[in-house]
Amino acid sequence: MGRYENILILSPDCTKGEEEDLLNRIRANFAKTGATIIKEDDWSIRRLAYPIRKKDKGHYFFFLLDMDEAGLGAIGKFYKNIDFILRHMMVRVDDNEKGPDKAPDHVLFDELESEFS
Amino acid sequence: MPRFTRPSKGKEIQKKRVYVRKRVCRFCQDPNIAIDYKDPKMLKHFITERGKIMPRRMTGTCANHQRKLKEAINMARHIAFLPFTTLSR
Repeated sequence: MGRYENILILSPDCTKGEEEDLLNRIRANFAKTGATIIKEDDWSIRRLAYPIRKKDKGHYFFFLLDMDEAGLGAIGKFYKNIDFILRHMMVRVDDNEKGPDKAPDHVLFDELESEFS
Repeated sequence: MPRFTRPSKGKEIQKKRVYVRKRVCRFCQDPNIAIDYKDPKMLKHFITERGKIMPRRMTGTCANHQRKLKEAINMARHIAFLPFTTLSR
C-alpha cells in the first residue's frame, strides 16, 4: 500500500450536475480499485498557466489516496476515457503526508494577464 | 636557452575584479521551506521571466535541492500551475 496524491483538471464548461455525477463515478472507481480516499479537496476554477485543449481555465480537484500500485493503471485508463478531464496527475508521496491545508495561491505571470483575469 | 619575453606595454592584463557574493542554499539554511509542486508562489522565485528554471549559479541552491526543485517545477508545469514559457516582451 502506498500514498498517492491525485490532481484532476476538469473542463470549466461542464455543468454542476455533470460534475457531481462525474465525481461520484470517480469515487466509485476508487472503491472498485481498492483505493481509500484520505482527503478530497475542491480547488475551484483556476486560471491555467497555458491553454489545455483550447481552454484557459480549469476546475481543479485534489485527492489523497491510500492504494496499491496495481490499481494505478486502471485509474489512469478510467480518466483517459472521460472527455471532461483535461489532465490528471498521480504522484507517490511519503506515507505520513497529510495533504495541503488550503488551495494553492493564484500566481500571475504576465502583466497582460491581470487585465484578462 | 629559452628567450625571456616581457609582455609588451600596450597589453596590460586588466584584472577584472569580480566580486562574488557567497551564496548559501536557501533550503539548507531554512529546513521549513518545503519544495512542493503544489505551491507555485514559492516555485515562481526559481524561474525566469521567460518561465525557464534559474541555474544554480544564480540562485545559489545546492545540487541536491536543485534536483528536487527541477522535479517540482516540471510537475507544476504538467498541471498548468507554472507555464512552460511566457510571452514576456
